[in-house]
Amino acid sequence: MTEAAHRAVELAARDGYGRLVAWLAARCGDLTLAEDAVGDALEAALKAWPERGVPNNPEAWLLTAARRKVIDRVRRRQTRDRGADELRTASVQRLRIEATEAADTPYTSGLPDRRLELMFLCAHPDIAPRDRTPLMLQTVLGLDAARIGSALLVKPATLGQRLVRAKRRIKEKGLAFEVPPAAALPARLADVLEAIYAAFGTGWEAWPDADEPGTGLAWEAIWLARLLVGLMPEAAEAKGLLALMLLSEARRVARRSPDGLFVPLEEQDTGRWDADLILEGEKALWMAAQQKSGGPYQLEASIQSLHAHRAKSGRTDWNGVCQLYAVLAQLYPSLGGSIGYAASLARVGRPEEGLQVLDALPETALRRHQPAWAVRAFLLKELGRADDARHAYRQAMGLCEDEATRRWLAKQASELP
Amino acid sequence: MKVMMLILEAPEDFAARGDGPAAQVYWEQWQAYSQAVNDKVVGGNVLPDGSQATTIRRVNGERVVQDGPYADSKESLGGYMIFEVESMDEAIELASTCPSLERGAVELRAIVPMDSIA
Repeated sequence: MTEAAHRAVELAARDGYGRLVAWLAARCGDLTLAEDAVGDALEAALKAWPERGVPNNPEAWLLTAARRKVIDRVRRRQTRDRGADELRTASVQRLRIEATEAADTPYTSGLPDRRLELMFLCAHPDIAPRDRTPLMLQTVLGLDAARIGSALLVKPATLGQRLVRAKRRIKEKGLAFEVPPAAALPARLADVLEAIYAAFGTGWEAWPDADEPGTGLAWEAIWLARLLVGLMPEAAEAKGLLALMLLSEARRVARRSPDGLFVPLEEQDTGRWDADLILEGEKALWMAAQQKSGGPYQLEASIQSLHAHRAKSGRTDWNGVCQLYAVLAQLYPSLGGSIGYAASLARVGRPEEGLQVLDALPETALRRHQPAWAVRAFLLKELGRADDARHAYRQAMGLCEDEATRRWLAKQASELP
Repeated sequence: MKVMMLILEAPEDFAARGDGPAAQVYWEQWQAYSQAVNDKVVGGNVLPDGSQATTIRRVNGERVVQDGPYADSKESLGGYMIFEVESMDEAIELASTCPSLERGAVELRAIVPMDSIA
């Protein structure tokens, strides 16, 4: 099997997973049950398909198998536990599934896509913010706790327990499996976007091997955003988020020189940027702009678009970058935005103001924030405060996961007077 | 809670402790790391590589003193740090930028408080 075909199969499988989980969970109201059933169905498929061949409609096959598993499990639960509540819930679940069965046959017409509702459920206000990203990665994409925990820096067993509790909460509180009503939509959508972007952020910092593009959590986040854009074409900010991530991801490989050294953005060889991703990002940003409904992600994507423009113009429009960051910081204040603003101020000869921006941020949020220390070091260097800069560079090094970047920071520090 | 971080270093890292440019990079990274996590560290020490270790055990009632570490693996214990943290997740975050991760590993264990042992 070629690499591309392998990837296509993997994507198709993942696509199916989320669809099936969403569809089943929407009906039985029990995310754990839906996931278990789809897991069992996939396991059954792994056994059956190599022997009997892949069915004409793999998704319909999986759905039938998964639905059978749900009913099996509900029955088993009924006989095991005769508690009245449990029995009632179980009966209701079973009835719901059977009642919708007729309406949804034949399956060959395609499964109604309920993944948008599932994404909103994962980022529900009743779910703790820190659980939203892992819940989405697990239920929509089928990633396991070990992989998610590694990316999010959480002990996999702890993460597993947290997710079990979150799903129990969804079931017990009967959280709605729906696209929120118009009045609540902007805030709820912002939560969904934030959960996706958080996955991208950890993936971005995790530095997967440069020679293996298409791996890592950043790609999972892009996949989720593409899905969201497809399911919610009216949401300009979803396109903004997709554009932001694509334009950033386009530079991943160029962050390393061919001999493995770290290369900062302004020194990157634009020939090594991924032109296809830039094009897709620019297109998403342009389409978002047509909808005339601005937001922080479109603004951040515009900043990345200015950076991407260096591939054509040969220079970075730092004034433009700085102005956009100023607007971002004013309209949608955030830690990352402020740090970007501070860095851009240094580029336009205003390092003193950059330092003021950093000093205005809460100290506890910055203490262990590597980019903040790196930017502070740069600002102090520009201001001629060599000793303070040295300390800041060292702090950034100690908070940095990547050895190539640590060496680059050490080199910056060693060049101080 | 207190969490102990066992620092498992690769042979290259032990070798880099001596002199020359490799040593400079090695100690620079460790100094930076120690500085960055300093406010959470309540103890720690550097250990020589496993070949310097002495292992004692009793085999069939007879004492055996051996040169070398208890467990024979490529990486060996190069030191430890003790963190005072709110949670294991916080310790994982602190450990995630430890320089030994590049070629070796770290192992985190929550320290059992003595007063909890009946």
